[in-house]
Amino acid sequence: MKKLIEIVKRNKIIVFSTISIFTIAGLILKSISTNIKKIYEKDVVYVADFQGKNKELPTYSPFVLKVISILEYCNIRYEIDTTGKLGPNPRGTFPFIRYNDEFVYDSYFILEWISKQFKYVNEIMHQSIGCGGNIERDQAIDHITKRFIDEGFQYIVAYYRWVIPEYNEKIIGKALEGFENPIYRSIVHFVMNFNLIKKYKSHTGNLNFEEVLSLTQSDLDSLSKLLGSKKFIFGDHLSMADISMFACLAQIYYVEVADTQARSMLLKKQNLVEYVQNVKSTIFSDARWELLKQH
Amino acid sequence: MEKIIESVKDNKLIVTGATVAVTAGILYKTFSSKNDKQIYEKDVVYVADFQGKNKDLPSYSPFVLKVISILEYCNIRYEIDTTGKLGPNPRGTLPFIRYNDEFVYDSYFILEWISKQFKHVNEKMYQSIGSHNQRDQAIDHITKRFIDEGFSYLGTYYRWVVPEYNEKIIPRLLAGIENPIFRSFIHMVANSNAIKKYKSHIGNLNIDEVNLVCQSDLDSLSKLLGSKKFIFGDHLSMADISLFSSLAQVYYVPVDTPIRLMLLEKQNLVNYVENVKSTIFSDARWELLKQ
Repeated sequence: MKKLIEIVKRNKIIVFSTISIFTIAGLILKSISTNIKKIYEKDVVYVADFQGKNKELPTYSPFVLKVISILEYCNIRYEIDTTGKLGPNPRGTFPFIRYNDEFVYDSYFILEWISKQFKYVNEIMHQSIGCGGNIERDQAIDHITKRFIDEGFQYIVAYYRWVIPEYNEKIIGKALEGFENPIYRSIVHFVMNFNLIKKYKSHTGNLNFEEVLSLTQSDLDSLSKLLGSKKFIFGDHLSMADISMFACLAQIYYVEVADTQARSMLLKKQNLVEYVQNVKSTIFSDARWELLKQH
Repeated sequence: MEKIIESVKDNKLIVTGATVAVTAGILYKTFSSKNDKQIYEKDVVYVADFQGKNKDLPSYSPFVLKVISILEYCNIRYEIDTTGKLGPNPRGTLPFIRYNDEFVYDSYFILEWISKQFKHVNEKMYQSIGSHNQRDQAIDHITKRFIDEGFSYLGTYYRWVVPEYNEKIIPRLLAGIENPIFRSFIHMVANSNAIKKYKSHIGNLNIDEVNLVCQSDLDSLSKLLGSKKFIFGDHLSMADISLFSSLAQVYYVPVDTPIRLMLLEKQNLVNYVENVKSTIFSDARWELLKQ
């Protein structure tokens, strides 16, 4: 030890310079390596989502689940990207996708883009349209139902998990389990609440809780009546409306961490319960579903 | 100045008395005009709306127009109240109604309340649907909700969010405000509130995307109607009330926004708006309500 200190004392400049150079070089190398662009495979759809852990379903966002469902159902190669670095996200919302060098935002337009990019998708998704005898009317009902769920029912579901504090803690807390550090997780939870609670409240038009309960019941009644005793909304094949409906109902059915009134109401609709399970197993193998719960 | 102070000092009592009298006078005037309670007739539905003048249609709000339409169609006694003093409005949005001593807020719940309060309404609004046709009942509800939560906002998006149309259309909404300075001020405030609301409802879509969704929505509404008189047949349904109220906002406001141009290309929807209007309102009534 003494000898070492002697050597250092005598060669201070060399030692210090060497240490400094190596340290700086090391830091630069480390930062470059984290910036080394992930190689994005050609012709694979990358879907941006939050990281999660031990989730109850592939994603806690009905919009992301819509996109995952259609890609899975139509056998399109895709990967979920939870790095947060998939690409620019000027809108600040999920999902968005990356395909080769293209970015598409907003789940409505992502689904449109998927239909245009992969020609057979429209064929697959319209197999049961017109089975009732009137193609145009079915096409209309498909679009209108999809829009109702995306703009109306979706926000009723979101109300429970965002606006009711007891459910917010349980559900959003569970959704954020992918953030290991509990302090960081609390901060993210707080920021999301700050940004989103106002938005969700305004979407449901400042309704009070009784009114939200009443709307939930009416909406579920109507979805149950629309389905009736059929396998899917229009018959034996999935439509775009089914994708929206499944993605939204799944958020109620598979999220058991909080026993919301919406869930109790859903469980009373036997045809809707069977529907959710049917759609799930039509789109995802059990193994695939379990795998997606872990990303 | 000094002389005034001297006089005040010398006549403290009189000055104090005078001040009290003047203050009391102002207070009396303020409170008494607020207390000039309009006598609200029994069993009449009072509907709160903005005041307007020489309007293009009975109301520039699709939600207020829904309420007016159902009351008119079902022959329920009602009056529009534009005083701004109809009652408490904790939600800050229109419409709300007053009936005897009850207040109901939010057009969805107002229509539900009307159905419960006036028993003949449900019978009338389900004539083309039938109590056994569950699928059509579902489509009625789903279409109504789609229009109220989705399409309605597209219908009024252009008038609020696109400056070119905002300049032409909003002044028509505010024509009831006499003072031009106050009107400009209200225009500014209304713009800033509306933009916040549309951002949250329409999300971050840009105008090209809004145009695309408008076109898809109109295509679907046109297909849903087909060659029928109304959505389900020969009688108006609740979905028709919602659809008419939002299409009317586009059709009767004579400014060529993209959505209006798209609507004018759908002949069956144009016929539909005119049909629903004349089914609900006599020409005289429509003209009266525009004032």
